[in-house]
Formats: sequence, C-alpha cells, structure tokens
Amino acid sequence: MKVKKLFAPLIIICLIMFIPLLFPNPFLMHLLISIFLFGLVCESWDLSMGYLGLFNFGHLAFFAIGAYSSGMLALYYGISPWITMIVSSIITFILGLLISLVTLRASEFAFSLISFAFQSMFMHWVRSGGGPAPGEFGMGGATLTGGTQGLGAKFSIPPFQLGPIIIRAGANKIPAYYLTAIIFVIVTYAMYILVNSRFGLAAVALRDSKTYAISRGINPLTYTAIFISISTFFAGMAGSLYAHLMGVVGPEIIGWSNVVIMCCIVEFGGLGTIFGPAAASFLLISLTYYLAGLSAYKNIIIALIMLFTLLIWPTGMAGAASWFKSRYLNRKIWEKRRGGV
Amino acid sequence: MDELLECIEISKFFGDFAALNNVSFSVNEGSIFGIAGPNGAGKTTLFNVITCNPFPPSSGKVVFEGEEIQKLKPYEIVHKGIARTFQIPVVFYNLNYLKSVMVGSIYGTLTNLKQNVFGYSRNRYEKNALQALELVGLTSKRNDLTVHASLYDLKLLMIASAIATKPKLLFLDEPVSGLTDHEIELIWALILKLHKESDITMVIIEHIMKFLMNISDDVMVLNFGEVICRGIPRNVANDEEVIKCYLGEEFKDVFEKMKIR
Amino acid sequence: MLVDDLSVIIISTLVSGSIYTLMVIGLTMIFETIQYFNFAHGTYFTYGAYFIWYLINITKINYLIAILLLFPAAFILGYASQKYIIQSLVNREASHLVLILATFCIGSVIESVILLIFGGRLKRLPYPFEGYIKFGGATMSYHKLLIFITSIMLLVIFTLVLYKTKRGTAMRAIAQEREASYLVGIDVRNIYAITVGLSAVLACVGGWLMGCLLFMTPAFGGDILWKGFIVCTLGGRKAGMRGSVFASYLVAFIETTLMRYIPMYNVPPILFAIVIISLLIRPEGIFVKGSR
Repeated sequence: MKVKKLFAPLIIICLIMFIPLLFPNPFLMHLLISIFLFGLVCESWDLSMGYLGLFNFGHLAFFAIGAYSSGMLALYYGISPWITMIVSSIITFILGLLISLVTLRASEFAFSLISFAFQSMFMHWVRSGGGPAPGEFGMGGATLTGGTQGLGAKFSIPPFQLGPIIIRAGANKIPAYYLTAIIFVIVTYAMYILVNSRFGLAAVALRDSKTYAISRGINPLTYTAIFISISTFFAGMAGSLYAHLMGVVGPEIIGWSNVVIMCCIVEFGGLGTIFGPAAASFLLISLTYYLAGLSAYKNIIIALIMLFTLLIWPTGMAGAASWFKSRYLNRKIWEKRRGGV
Repeated sequence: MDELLECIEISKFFGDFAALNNVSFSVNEGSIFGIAGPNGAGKTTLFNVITCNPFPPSSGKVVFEGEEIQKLKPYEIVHKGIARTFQIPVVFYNLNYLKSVMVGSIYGTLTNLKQNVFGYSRNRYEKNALQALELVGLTSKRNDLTVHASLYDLKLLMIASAIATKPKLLFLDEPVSGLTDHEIELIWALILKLHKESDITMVIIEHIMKFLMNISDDVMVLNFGEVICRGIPRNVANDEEVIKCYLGEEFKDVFEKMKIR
Repeated sequence: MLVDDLSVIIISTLVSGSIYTLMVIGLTMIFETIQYFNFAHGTYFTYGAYFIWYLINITKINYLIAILLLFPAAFILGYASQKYIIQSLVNREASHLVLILATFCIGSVIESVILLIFGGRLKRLPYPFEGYIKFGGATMSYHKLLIFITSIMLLVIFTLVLYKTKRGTAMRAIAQEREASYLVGIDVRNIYAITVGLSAVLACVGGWLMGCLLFMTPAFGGDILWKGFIVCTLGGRKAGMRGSVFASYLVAFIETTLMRYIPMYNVPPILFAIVIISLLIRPEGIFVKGSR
C-alpha cells in the first residue's frame, strides 16, 4: 500500500488514541464514546441505505436487539460480555437475513414496512416487560426487559472486564473510551474492505441499475440479503457495546427522535460512503449534546438539516470533502458527481 | 451446425394486448441471426422474454443447448451463457469503466455463492475484465467514471460487460442507434471482429438494412408481435409482405445494387 | 351473543375501514402517479385534527366554518410540500430512497412543530353530531355513521374527479405513462402537486374525524399511517383504487375481529404475522390486477 494513502487515516487514528492523554475531561470522553457508538450504528445503516439504496426503517431495532439480548444473557445467566457481544451480533445477523429473505421477494417497500413493523413489535414487547425475569431477578415483580424503566435499572448490566480492569462508562471512562475507539476503528476498516470488495460491487450495481445488474448475473435476493445481514450484524455489535458500557438500556434509545438523528447523520455524512457518517456523527452528536435542553427544537433542527442536505447538497459531507479535494488539492476542475461516492 | 437456441411459439400478453404472438425461430451455433421490423413490433420484448429479464414469456418454450430455460431466473440464464445489451444504454453511474465490466466478469461467471466465497481470485476476474475492455478498445479509459461517458462509450461498455460474462450467445439490441456515422462503422467493425475471433453466436436487432442483411446468416422480420418472414437475407428482402410493411417499395431492387450475398 | 358480537364487529370494521380508506387512497394515488410513498401522510392526519382543534379552541371559530376551512388548508399543505420541496427531488437518481427520506423529514418537522405549539397532552375534539341510532339490536353513534358516510362520499367525489374532470384524467394519464403525458401538454408538476393536495385533504378529514373518536397526540397520525402501510402491502403495489378499498376494509375486519377475542396487546403482532404470511404466499399482493 502506498504510504500517501495511509497518511490521513493514520493521523486520525493517532489523534483518536492520544486524545484521552491530552484532554482527560470526562465529559469529552463520554461525548466521544457516544460519537463512536452512534457512528457505528450509522455506518452500518449506511450499508443498507446508502450502498443498497433500501430504506431499512427498522435498522435501529437491531441495535436494540443487540443491546437487550447481550444485556439479558450477561445479566441473567452470568455469561461474559465478550461472549454475549459475539452471540448477540450473530443473532442480529440471522434476524436481518431472515427478514430480508422473506420480504425482498415481495418488494423493497415490503422490506421497509416489515422492518419498521418489526421494530415496533420489538419495542412494544420491550415496553410490556415480556414476562417475569428469570430466577432471583424476578423477585419483586421485576420484568424480563425492565419495561419502560429499562434493563439494568435495578441490577446493572455487567460491564466488560479485562483482567482487573472494569470497562464501564462510569467513573473512570478511559478504558471504555479505548475499547470503543478500537472497535470503531476496526469495524470501520472492515466495512471499508467490504464495500470495496466484490460484495460491495454487487450492492452498488443492484442500486444503480437493478435490471442491468441482474442481466450480468447478480442474484438480487442473495446479495442484498447478505449485505443487509452484515449491516445488522454490526448494528447488533454496537448495541451490545452500548449495553455493557452504559450498564442500563431502555426503550428510549431507539425512540423516534434518536431515529431521526441517526437518519440525519447518515444523510448528512453522505449516503453511500463509510467515512461520511463517521465524520457526521462527530458533528451532529456534538450538536445534539449542545441542544440537549431544547428537545422539540432539536428535532426540528435535525430534520431541517436533513432536508437541506437532500435538497441542496445531496452528497453530504463526504461529497463536500471530495469536492474540496479535487478543487484545491488535486487541482482538477471540479466535476459534479451524482449520488454517493 | 447445431441449433444453439430454439424458440417455440413464444407469446407475451399484457392484459389482452399480445406483444408477441407465437413467435418461433431457431439460431444455429456460430451464426449471426438478424431481427428487423418496425418500431413497436416486439423485438425488444422478444429479448426481454428470452432472457426473462424483466419478465418471462406468457407461453411458449425457449430451448438453449437442448435445455428449456423459460422458467429459469434471469441471472441463471446469464450463467447458462446468454448475455444481452440494451437498446437504451444502462449504466452503473457510480462505478468506473473497469468496475462496470468487472460486474460482468465476476457475477456473469460465478454460478453460486459458494464459488464466490471460496476460491475467489480478484486478479483472474480483473484480467478478464481488462481483456474485454481491450477488445472494445477502452483500455485507456479504464479508470474513468461512467458518469461522464459518451453514448458511444456506454454502448461499448455494455458490449464489453456482456463479453466479460463469457457468453455462448450474445443478444445485441440496436447496437448503433443514436450514434454518428463514423461511430456506427466502428461498432459494426467491432461486431464483425468479435464474430470472427470467437465462437459467440449473435442475435442482432437492427434497423440499418445495409449492415443487417450483409452480415446475418438468417433474418427474421417481426410486425405487430408476429413473424412475417424468416429466412436468408436475400429471400427476406424480396418478400412482398416485408417490403409492404417495412422496407418500402424503393428497396426492391436496391438489394442487387448493394451487392449483398 | 354472537349477533351482538357481529354487529359490534361490523360497525367497528366500517369505522376503521373508512379511516384506513381515507388514508390509503391518498397514498395509492401518490404512489401510482409520482411513485413514492408519502411518509408524511400520517402527519397530514395529525395536522387535520390539530388544525380544527386550534380553530375551535383558540380562535373560537364556529365548528362548521372550521371544517370548511380545513379543506383548503389541507390542500395547500399537500400542494405546497409537493410543489416546493418534493418536486426538486423527483428526477434525482435513486429517487425512491431520496423521496422517502424527504417525506420522512417533512413528517418529522410537522410533527415536531405541532408538538412544540400544542404540547404532548391528550386532546379531543367534540363530536359534530351527538346521539345514537339504533338498528337491529346494535347501537351506532351518529359520529361513526358520519365517518362511514363521509368516507364513502369523499371516495365517490374523488372517483368522479378522477374519471370525469380534465385534471383527474391527467392524473390517470400520468400514472400510466409519464413521458407521453408531457408530450401531450399536461403540466405534470402541477398535477403532481394537485394529487398530493387532494390526498392531503382526504388524510386531514380522516384526522379530524378520528380526533373526535380517539385522543389526539402529535404522534397519533403515525399509528394510522402504519396501518395504512399494512393495507398497501396486503393490497399490493399495483392494486389500484378498488383493491386498496377492499384491502382497507379487510384489514379493518381482521383487526376488529382479533381485538374482540384477543387482548389488545397481542393484536399488532398477529397482524404483523398475517402480513408476513401473505407476503410469503403471494408476494405481489392480494388484490393485484394481474397480467398473464
């Protein structure tokens, strides 16, 4: 690999790794942890929305399923969070596979609808509590999912543990920061490899011209389903990470306003790119923290940002970056591109 | 010569409208089969139903290499060895030339997922794609974005990605429509070169009689979804019905003057 | 007992089915003509209810006048959002996704604005007509009768517009063949905007009627929208008007019957399961006009 190409990513990785040493501010740590976690969710959402062109309404359901399943397995059955993270990612992979195989045979709209219905169903079940919690956890009428109070409200969800170090976004956030940052970098790199592989080629081909892609031998159902399952795999992983770092997870994490924020991040970052949503996550999550007090205005502002991006600058931040690059760095005349990268 | 493709009483209905009505013909291996006819005759629909993309025939049989294919999925038909180009150019707007052709070289030849995951070697497919690009003369543009491509390049790309699927049978749907005279000559030279250098059997829809009659071994003329004439070019060009519906009276003796075999 | 049950089920089916029809006809119209699903449709519903609430409670306008004002207000809402916002996105590449996102945004903005202005507390509109009518052992409130009659009337008017007026014919022409419509001189953009405007009217009227029956929250349109999507999926993408109406009443019937015998909590999952099964058995939809 050429050194020049590695330059920018390496700088960013160094920055990420050294920030806690330069600015050990706990608020900043927590903000960055949120940014990385939601960045993971948004990047994986971009796989199905941007690269495939399918509106996966229920993507966040997989985040929630990852969080709840991992949390429940660790809390009620004492399984190590490292294992439950892998298990819950596999669960979301399989669920994503099933849903896409069943619904894509009908139409893409059916897929959007069913994934949304699936999300509603799941949150419905979560809010209702889902029955008594197993064993001693069920005493005092505690429910399986913790209902609207959340899982881990009474007994915290077990944290990750590396030998003597407890990794939790609690008092000492630094181990949690490093865990999140490392996973973020690795997963982002994995997604980068995926989209530049032949699977990414199939996805983009299907999006750009389905008839043409089929006429060159791509089985739309298989490759779409695989791509979606991979996106839900990573969503589940992010959810599991969230559950064990925060110790508690409630149904409001995928409430409507969070859905809109994350959708905006994907859009604003640039549909069909990996680094776009990552960068937009930095900007927009920080913005939402800044606007935390004005919740109704926050929703309107985020929705308007999304609308303006769609109307005026559809390639998003990633598009702006490549425009900037070709204009000033490569000294080529900027040429307008359609859609994403 | 064996029959590579045989179509038996193909019909396609949209509601009560018969786009194709009992169309039958066969294509011999290694030959060029021409299809002509007025606009709206059903020629592109014929390609659509044979390749089942986007729809299969309402009735009738399509036999390719002795096997019935009308009930197969469109991508399975590609894997059997049939490739097509489109009348209105289709483009992968977000890919460059090389990647567009690689879609064909990878997915046109890999028949199932297992093959795709195990034993995949990117170099092999990239080489195939580069070969296809070289055949059509686009090697120097391989990293260019298709979003800026000219119509001529888009048509060449469609042909290149079709060839990259290593087909036994190639359907070309009006390969030169919309091009300048010079470009038309170039593409026809390319088609002739392809036919000479490889074993690809071709079925070509075209309106330019000079070329179609010149290079086809057999010609079929469609009108309103039905076959009105089928046979060697000379006979078809002199057929009364064909002249009345399509070629026009002026064409009657031009045949001799054009020195067509 | 069964007869009582049956009459209650029938009445509820008529009411729910009528509301779903109002919702779905608009969605289908937009989908067939402009080819996108209007995710903001649910918020039009909400807008209708809150508009009336605002007029009769804040500006103290007469109820009847408020209802009359609803029609132009709804039409303007739909017309403007199509003409000024969505129109510029219609010809984009990957338009189906972009349009979904855009309507999603618009819906979000409207819902947030309503939340901001009116707050989240439950509200209710007064019935336009109080009273009951009894027939055959069943009682049906005048309001429910009104819902049914209104939806039938609007359906008839809409069908008349579609088949007897010039604009309606233009709408049908565009649904069949957009390019050719341009060529014969139809102002496609204007017709698009009118289509959305008309469907907004249907949705807003539905919202007003439901606002009397149910408690209004800024999000209640979203619930009905979801049911509307279920109807559309069951009915199939190419169901057309007739198929959509049948599908609406069918879904209403299934839902009402289930609710009668199963606790309300479990009804959504079963509806969900039914849709999945119908997708497996007949992916292109139940009421599709087939082509051989």
